[in-house]
Amino acid sequence: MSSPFSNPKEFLEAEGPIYTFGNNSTIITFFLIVSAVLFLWFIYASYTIKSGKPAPKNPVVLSLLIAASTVSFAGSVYNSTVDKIHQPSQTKETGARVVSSNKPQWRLPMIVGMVASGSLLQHRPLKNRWRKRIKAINRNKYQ
Amino acid sequence: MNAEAQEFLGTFISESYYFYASVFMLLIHAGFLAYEGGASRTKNVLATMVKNLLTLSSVGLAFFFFGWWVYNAFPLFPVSGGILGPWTNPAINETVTAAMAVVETSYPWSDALAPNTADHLTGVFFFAFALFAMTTASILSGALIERVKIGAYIILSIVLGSFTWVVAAAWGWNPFGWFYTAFGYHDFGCSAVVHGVSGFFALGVLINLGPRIGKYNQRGNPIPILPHNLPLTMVGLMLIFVGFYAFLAACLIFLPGYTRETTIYGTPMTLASIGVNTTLALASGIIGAYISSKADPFFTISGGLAGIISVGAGMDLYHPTVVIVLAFFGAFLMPKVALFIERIGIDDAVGAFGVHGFCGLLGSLAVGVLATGYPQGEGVPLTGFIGQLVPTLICVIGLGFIPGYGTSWLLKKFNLLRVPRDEEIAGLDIADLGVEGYPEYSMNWATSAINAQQHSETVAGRLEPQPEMQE
Repeated sequence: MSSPFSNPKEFLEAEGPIYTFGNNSTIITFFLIVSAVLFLWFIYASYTIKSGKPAPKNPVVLSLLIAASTVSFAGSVYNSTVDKIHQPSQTKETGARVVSSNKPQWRLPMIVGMVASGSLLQHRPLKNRWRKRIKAINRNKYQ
Repeated sequence: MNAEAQEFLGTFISESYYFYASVFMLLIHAGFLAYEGGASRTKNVLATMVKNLLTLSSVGLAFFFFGWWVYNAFPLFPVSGGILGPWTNPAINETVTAAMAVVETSYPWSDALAPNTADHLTGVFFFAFALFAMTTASILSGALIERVKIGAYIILSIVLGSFTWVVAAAWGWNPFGWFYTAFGYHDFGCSAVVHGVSGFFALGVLINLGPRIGKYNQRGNPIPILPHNLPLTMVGLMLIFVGFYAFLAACLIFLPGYTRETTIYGTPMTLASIGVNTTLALASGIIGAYISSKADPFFTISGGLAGIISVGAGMDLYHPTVVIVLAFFGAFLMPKVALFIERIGIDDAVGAFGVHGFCGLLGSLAVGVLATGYPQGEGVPLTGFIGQLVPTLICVIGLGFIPGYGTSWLLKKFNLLRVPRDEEIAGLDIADLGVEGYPEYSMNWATSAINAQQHSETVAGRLEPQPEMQE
């Protein structure tokens, strides 16, 4: 019984607490702990819940990212080749042009990083797929 | 201050308390108006809002003609007496004598509802109950948007708002009601009596009404029909929250000469605890639905209401920590229930069954688990699970689902339930009202197409120019 009262007179003329489990502090403590856990879950969830699909995992966005990275990578390779060809004439030019000629050296690792990050995102499901396939092969082997 | 003035002050406080609580309850209707209007598509926004507005008239007048009498006349029927009315002999027994005193004030021709210096309270209680009744019917209104005939909705709102829920209230929210006297039923905030009845009534109607055109694909999978103005819907729900504080405050009984506040069952309570528990239920309900629906805005804000309804029945008795956990639980399950209903082919446009039907049922049953053993009066059974279960099932099935299904089935048989297909496609704003909600924007493809055709015919010289075109 969650009521702290045993007869109508006691309840109807009560002066003081009338709430459920008023005579059982253990249960109130339990509810208090559960309430606090729910509140912490809420705070944690507010950082993790995203109603829409996370952008990097969206296959369309991912495809566009990889395509853009590949085009950009091809462009940078082309530019660096062209720059190498024209390097002797560029060294005589202004400092600003020299700075711009350094760009591909920084761009290349960035592009490689972008492509790598895209492939890494794709890598996990592939890995899982391989794991599943290996597990299935092993299962068949031992059955 | 002399004794007579002090006595009148007590009367005036009671009169004012219920008067202003009822005025604030009107915010529930302002909220439902915005909520449903926002949830509809642009082609239906005005028709949806007008339909909701008409609830005030259909239920308000029907409640005056017979609803208020039903509340006072049905508490004993059919278990401990008959239906009370002009044919009843008040001297049969003490209970009937006491009940008849209020029955006689509830006839439409009674002088208690007219200006009368001898009765300050019957009128404000009528006012509060009429607002309860309108709230009940408004819950139905949202579920049916975008395809129900206005006439059909008016009939359904009268059946629900002025009869079936009133019978539930007579049995379960009345000191003479047999749910209370025979089962020890306790439903302080009307979880089953208002929300359970209206949610299940809506479910019965929705089965006969069918889904909106385009709601399901050929395989029967649901397609989301998005609200045209979700911010308006969210503001509407905020107004409903404000109104619900007043709704729950009006569930408190304080009459002249009282030395304490009581529930309708005569048990002790405090207004302060309603403030605390409503606030916590609102907060916790929002969290529950936020996590469960993964931050869906519509479900998240509906979670606040789901939380309040889940704890409403025992709000006068629950410790705040119990309220937090129960409101979270109810609101967490609510989106799942709403999506399940959608998946089985029932198009509940605003999730009324999930919020009101399911949470009302849960809230009423929860008293039988979390507030058991309360001795509410001499000869009245202790609160318990069976005492909650039986009346709750009578409410949701007998006074909710069956009347809703039966009335809508009859309307459907006479082709009075649903608008024709072409009207539904064109939009009810044009079909029912002849105007669009947003006339300065060309949002309605059907009327835009007609206007474009008329314009091209005018240019081609086949049609006389319309007056507005001449301008």
